[in-house]
Amino acid sequence: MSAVIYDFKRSFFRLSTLLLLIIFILVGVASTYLIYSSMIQQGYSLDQKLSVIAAIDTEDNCLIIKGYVFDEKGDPVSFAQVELYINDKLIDKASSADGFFMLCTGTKISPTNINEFFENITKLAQDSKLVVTYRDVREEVRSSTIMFREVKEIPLTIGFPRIYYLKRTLYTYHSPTAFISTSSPILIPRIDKDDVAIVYFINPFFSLGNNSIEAEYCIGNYLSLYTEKNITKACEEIKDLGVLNKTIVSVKIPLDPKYNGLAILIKKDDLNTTYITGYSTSRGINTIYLSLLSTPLGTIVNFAPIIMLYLAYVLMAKPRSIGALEFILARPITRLDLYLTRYFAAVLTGLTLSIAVILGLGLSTTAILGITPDMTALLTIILGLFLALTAIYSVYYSLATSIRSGLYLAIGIILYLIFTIFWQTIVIIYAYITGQLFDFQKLTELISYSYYFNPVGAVNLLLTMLQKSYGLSSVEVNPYYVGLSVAIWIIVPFILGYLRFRRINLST
Amino acid sequence: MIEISNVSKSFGRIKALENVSFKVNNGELVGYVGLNGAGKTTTIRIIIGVLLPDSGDVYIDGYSVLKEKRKASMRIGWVPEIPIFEPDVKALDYFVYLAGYYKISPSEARRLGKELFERVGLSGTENRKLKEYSQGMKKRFALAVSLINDPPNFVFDEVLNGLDPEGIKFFRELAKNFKKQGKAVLFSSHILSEVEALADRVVFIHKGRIINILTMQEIKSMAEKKLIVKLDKPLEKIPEEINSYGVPVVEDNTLVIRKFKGDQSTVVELLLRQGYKIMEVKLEEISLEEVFFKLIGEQK
Repeated sequence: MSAVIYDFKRSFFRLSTLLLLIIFILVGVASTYLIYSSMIQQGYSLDQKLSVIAAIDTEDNCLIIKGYVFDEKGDPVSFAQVELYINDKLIDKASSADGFFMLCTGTKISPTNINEFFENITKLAQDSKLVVTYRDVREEVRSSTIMFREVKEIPLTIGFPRIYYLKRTLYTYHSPTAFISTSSPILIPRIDKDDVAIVYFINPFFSLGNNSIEAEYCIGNYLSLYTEKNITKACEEIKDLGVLNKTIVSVKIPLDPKYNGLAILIKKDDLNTTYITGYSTSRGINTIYLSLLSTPLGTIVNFAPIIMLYLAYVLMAKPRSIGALEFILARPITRLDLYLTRYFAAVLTGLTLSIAVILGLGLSTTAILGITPDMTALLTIILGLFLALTAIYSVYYSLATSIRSGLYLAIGIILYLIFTIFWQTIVIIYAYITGQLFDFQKLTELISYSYYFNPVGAVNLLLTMLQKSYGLSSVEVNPYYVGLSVAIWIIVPFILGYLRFRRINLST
Repeated sequence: MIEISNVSKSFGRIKALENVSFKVNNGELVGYVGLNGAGKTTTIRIIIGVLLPDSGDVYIDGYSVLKEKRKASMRIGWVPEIPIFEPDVKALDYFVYLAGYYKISPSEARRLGKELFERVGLSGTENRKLKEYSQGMKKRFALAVSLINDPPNFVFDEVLNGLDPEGIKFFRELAKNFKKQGKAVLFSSHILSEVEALADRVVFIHKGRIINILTMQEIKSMAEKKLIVKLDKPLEKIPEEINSYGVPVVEDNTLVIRKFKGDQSTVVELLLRQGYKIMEVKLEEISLEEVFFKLIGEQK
């Protein structure tokens, strides 16, 4: 045992290992910052506890703002102070009642003077903000304009793009009241325990006349909804929401936990647009975090095998090639003892690295995002990374027992490139040959399933399983196949390596 | 006791060892002599348990190296001809690591390491990396490691090669002391005279086969003097008195007296009196090395 610890110390406390560990932790910290900025860009508030949805409307030839304020549990709040600022000048303020508030912009509308109307709208779109204060919480909400997905231009006779204000606060929510979304002007402050969501969304059509729209919704896979040109193909069933004429529409929609995407299809005369959003019944911040975690984790998974390649070189290939293992084997140990000692020393290094890197990622998440990541998710990722590193080490170790150190490095680097850097490219080429390249769903499945055949695939497979449980992935990964894949990648090279090592001449 | 029993080993088509068998008893120092490439190191690597034989076995104090490697290795120390270690580690750290295999705690191993480093003359070099050690220092380090548990059997593989006189003296004295302590010592060399002053017996190996096992006494008796006298004409009859100087043999006009003892001038005088002219007189001594070459059937 002390020999394992000694070899572990030699493996872990070497400059190259520590340097890569520091790089990985820095990648984790940098990625957390990226996740943070990405969340901010998507309109999530990470340090406040209020959600706000509001939009420009008209009343008595005057531009007004109507909206709602919700607390961290998704309940509408009363007595929230809402102020409208244009160019940092206070224009109006109001207090919410049962979440609802209304503000006057002070801008009159002259239907006959379109230019003046445009000017006022532009000013609101560019220079206005809402400041919402509730108890000790103060939230600033900047304006946005609805981008139509399918309608490029709205004829002036019908209306204008709607200006709206949206701030989604998710991290304080309790399961299962979370919701994730991309850029759609939708707010779902809560999902009840029976999976019925209270959905607020902005009526995109802003005209001086009739604002009524017809709306439908459908549930399906988020990625399919997002990528399918004909959305009805990706839907389970399209259901009617009726004719709606409010500026901010509020509806109850039963969500299906089997799926993770919601599409709201809005029609007005010959025009239509669609809001698509993903949903999850889990704690929202973790869902968002997990969806964005693939990037840093991918970077770490791509480069961590270099450490194992190097460790197999240092612990087996090099000492075996120069004949240094003979002197060790002259001690009261068997070849199996020596083989196991050097194997488990690196496995222990892999475990320590996995824990250090993922905990580093978790701690930076707490420090930067102010949240405690889901421990199950963190432990699953640690396990995935550890199994991936162990499996690739088994492959490298097996090679190191059989070939000279120079050849080992050459083959090891080629295998590294195949299993990490070029893996997806290889799968994409295969998809192209088999005609699956342009079917997004099939390609996603193909990439995910390909990791069964990759020694570092464990981490990707477990991440996919995790994302599936959070509604972020539609790919069904079989846990038994994952176990089988990991077991084969670890055990088979390990045994083959030993069969070679037990008889190999260790002399130079 | 080290017992090598019918050991054979091939590397591909090359037969490195063929049915090698011999014993080294406790309190005995056995020289293992053969030309370079004869199979000495291969035998020793099999004895130590780092190389597997194709057939046969080695027993260290009765423990099979193949079947009871841990117990066998506990009872034998080894100083290789060219010790190879992992180069980037500090000597004392590596000693502590290797001591771990003898189930010695790191603190105890560190204490023992310092003590043994001093004993083998490496004191003050504990924190140097092994790659910075000279060949002699590496052998001393290998010795220190082998002394971790003071085993009752020792194998020195061409240990005097490349050593300075002080190193040679050190290892010779050490081997003698081991013998005095009752240890079984196998001392390999490709130079017979190297083991002359040490060995009780010598095992000769040639082309992977044991060709002879002789006591030092027997070897020394094989080393002989011979007097060669070239005459102007063939010797018709060997004078009676010549027989008292050794074993005379006549080859044409040359008289060779094997196992010569006595004064060569007396023999010359005797032949002159017989009417022969002496063309050349030469006294040859057969060295241990010649004995060795004679034994292996090859010319120097």
